[in-house]
Amino acid sequence: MKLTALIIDDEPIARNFLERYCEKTGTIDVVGSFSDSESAYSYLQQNEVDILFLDVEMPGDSGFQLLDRLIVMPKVILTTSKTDYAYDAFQYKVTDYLKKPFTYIRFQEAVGKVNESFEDKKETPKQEDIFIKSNGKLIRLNYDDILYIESLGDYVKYCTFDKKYVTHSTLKAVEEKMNKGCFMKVHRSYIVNLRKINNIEDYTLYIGDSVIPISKMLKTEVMGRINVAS
Amino acid sequence: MNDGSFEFNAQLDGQFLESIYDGDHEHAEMVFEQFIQSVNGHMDEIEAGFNSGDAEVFRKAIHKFKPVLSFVGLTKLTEAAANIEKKCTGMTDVNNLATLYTLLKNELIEKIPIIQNDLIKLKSITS
Repeated sequence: MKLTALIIDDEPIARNFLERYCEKTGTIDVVGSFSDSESAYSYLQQNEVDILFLDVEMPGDSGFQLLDRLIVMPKVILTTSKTDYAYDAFQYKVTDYLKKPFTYIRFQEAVGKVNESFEDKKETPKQEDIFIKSNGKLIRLNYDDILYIESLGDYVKYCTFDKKYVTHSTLKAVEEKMNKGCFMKVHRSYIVNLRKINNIEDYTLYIGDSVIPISKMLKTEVMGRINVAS
Repeated sequence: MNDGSFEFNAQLDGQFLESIYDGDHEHAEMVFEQFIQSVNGHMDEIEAGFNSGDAEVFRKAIHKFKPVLSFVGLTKLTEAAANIEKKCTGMTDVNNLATLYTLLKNELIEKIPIIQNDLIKLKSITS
């Protein structure tokens, strides 16, 4: 399996090294190479990649600021010439931390860690849908079709663009089943599909015609999960 | 890839260069060439940072150039640059670093012809 990678570093020779090393592996396709976070971010808004080789200190936004803006997080290998970012690297759960300059052997070790995590994922195929029990039937709902889920006590209501399904369950049980990348609990009674939010005003968010409250406690987390232009 | 028979100039860190190029002389040639083309730009950026008197601007320019020095075997200069970078943090007057900076600059100027010579040698074996 070939992995796709994006290189972000403001120093051309450092980018050259990563490009050459990726080519040498024979298993990584470099789909883009950028000298700043903003250009990389524009690319990532339109495309998904498997690995980010990411420098920290760059003109404009730092590598960590770029990560803050991403909703879908690729595997990240930090490439920096300072060791001072180890704590942040840990916080951002990066796969590895390469201190520049690094050898090909060390690079291979980092790529190996990414490969391992993809192997683990292969064993548990990525769920893109969920089966729910409604009116005595098991109905398949694609995650992307779900706008939000509302708690109705011992029942929950799944709302899609054109249908609503009520099923016997709790919001807590549903939360455990949903894709953590796209869905988030924003209130004790609501889980929303982050990709479907039209707008947010104070403690209210809008999805289609629906008005959904955001709890005060979860507001910061919600704002951290969406991509807000500065 | 080549047969690995190239020997870098003894004033460069040959062991480190072997570990990063692993016999890929074409790659080494490409990087040495890029270094020669960009070194003046880097030095100008660092000089401008120093002259600005702003330690953070100076630190950033040093930080960016630091690993590049190792890519052409100047690992000792990478260490010297790292030392300057570290001293910049929390410093208000960059003039306190004038001696260290001058040493780094002079050492680098002295080493550039060596890199140029090795580039010529690399070109001759990869062409």
